[in-house]
Amino acid sequence: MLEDKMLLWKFRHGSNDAFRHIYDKYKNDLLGLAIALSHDRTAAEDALQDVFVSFAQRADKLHLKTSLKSYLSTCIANKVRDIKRKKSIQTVELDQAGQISTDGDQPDTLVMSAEQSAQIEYAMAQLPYDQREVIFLHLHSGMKFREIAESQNVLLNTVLSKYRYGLEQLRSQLNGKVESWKTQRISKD
Amino acid sequence: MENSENIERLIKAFCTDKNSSARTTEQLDEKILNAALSAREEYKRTQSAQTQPKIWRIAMHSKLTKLAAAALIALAAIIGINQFAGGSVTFAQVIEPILNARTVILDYVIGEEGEGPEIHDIVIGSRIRRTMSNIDMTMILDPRVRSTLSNMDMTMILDLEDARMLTLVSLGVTKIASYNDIQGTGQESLLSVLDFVRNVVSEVKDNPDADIQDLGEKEINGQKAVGFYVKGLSRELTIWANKKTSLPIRIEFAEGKTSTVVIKNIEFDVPLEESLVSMEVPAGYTLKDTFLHIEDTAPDNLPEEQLDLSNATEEDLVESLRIWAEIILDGAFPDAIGTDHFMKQAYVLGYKLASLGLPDSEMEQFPKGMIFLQEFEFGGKWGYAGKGVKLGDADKIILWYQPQGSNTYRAIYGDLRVAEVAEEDLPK
Repeated sequence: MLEDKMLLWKFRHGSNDAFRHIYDKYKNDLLGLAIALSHDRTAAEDALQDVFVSFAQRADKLHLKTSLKSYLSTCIANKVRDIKRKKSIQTVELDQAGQISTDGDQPDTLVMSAEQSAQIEYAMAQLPYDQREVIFLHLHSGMKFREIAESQNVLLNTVLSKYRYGLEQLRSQLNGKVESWKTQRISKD
Repeated sequence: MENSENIERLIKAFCTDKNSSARTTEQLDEKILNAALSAREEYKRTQSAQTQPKIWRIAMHSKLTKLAAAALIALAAIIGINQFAGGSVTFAQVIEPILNARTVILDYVIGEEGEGPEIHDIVIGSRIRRTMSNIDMTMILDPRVRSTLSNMDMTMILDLEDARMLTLVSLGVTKIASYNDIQGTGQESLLSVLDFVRNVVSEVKDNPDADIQDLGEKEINGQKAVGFYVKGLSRELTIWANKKTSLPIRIEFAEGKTSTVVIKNIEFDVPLEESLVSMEVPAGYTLKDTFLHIEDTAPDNLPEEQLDLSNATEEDLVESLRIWAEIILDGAFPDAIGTDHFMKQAYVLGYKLASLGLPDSEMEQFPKGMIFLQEFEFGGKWGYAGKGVKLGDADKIILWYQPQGSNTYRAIYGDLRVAEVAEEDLPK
């Protein structure tokens, strides 16, 4: 966090290198979050660009209450929500799931199979957007529930409810699949 | 049925999986960075134009700026006109308009012509409308404001009878008026530069022993002129007059030991609108009581400018230390710390922050941390050992304090992390 503060401070002083450093540090995480939320790589890239343009413009006025990563993640979530509202992004169909964001896939590093990933992606896509957002901000970006509540200007309990309902729905959709994946992995090993 | 923890683990794994495949391309990086950095440049340009009212507040509510502005305006108001006393001569035609004209337009240059500041006076009776040129008025401003401005215009209407001055300042789109009492400079000695010349001429006129020398002729700005050197009781003048009209066209005198004042472009009894020297605030200007007090009696903290220094925390102290080391001392912690040291450094910080174009928040942060420290400075247990320590030195404790009711100390290290430390582990 201190490093981020220093980078932000340097950028405010006019260091474009500091800005590049911040961008390089978070670009992939943020792109991943944007893709997860939007299911649309093009929309995700647009969101990433909009967020960094806005961040560059407002850096002087920025008062970070949380970490820079949390701040940028919140911006991505807000931006995706805007884009979604404008483009009326629909939830993906199962046959589309898994085709998204697979550019540059590196099989060696994957923890789960493409099928498993597609199933989860499909299940996530069935969630109401606000529940998906809370889940991803917490589990993908590591934001605390309190930070999410503050960034969305809602009560902590509202965030916790969305999270809980979201997980409940995922559990219901993925019911039984996780165990079978575990079994498959054990048998492969 | 999956439990919540399993689902959370699954989603985390999914996120890790997706992240590993979510990579930006070089083209995307270049596109985003170019867009962002260009947007920042554009934003900075438009902001400087849009934030002038704020700039005004920054400019004029700094005590240092107020003092600088006061000094400049006071100087401009009284320069060359309040340090003499009052004699007769045979060149009556030349001095007649000097002595009797009700309206005069003149310019005078202090120092070398073309280099020194030029003051333009329109004199109507006992009032003067004064403007200045060839002087960077913005020098009185905070550097961060100065860099954003192309011009700052200031007009002063001086009422020498009532010893009041109406100052009109135009700073970009912002127009501010203020009344200033100029009695402090000595009302009885408040004279226009024309009054000064009149006084010297009068001294000579009434003194049969006065030294008056004919300097012959020379051409001044295409006009044939005749010159007179006049030595009064206290001052001496050189007056050049148009050979045909006998009207003075140039007057020179020494100002102090090294500087000269040249009065030129003189016109007498020109029909002028009285409104030019009106002491009413013109339309479009906002009257500010607090813009400037020559005696600097204005309160420093105006309600709208008060900093929020409430609820100072340890984090603020850490931030103050970072600013002190990083901005003021280029990476080193100060030799000593405390309110008195802070007071000495505040302006250095102010100008450093200003020159770097940093936002007000950095200015606010610095004193806030010092306020937190004051809680311990006056009566609490604390210590400082930052002398010689560089910012980032993780092994050295630079500052420690004992929170109320605690048996241990909060210690701040050179890398600005904070830890609980027992008394025996503190620097000796």
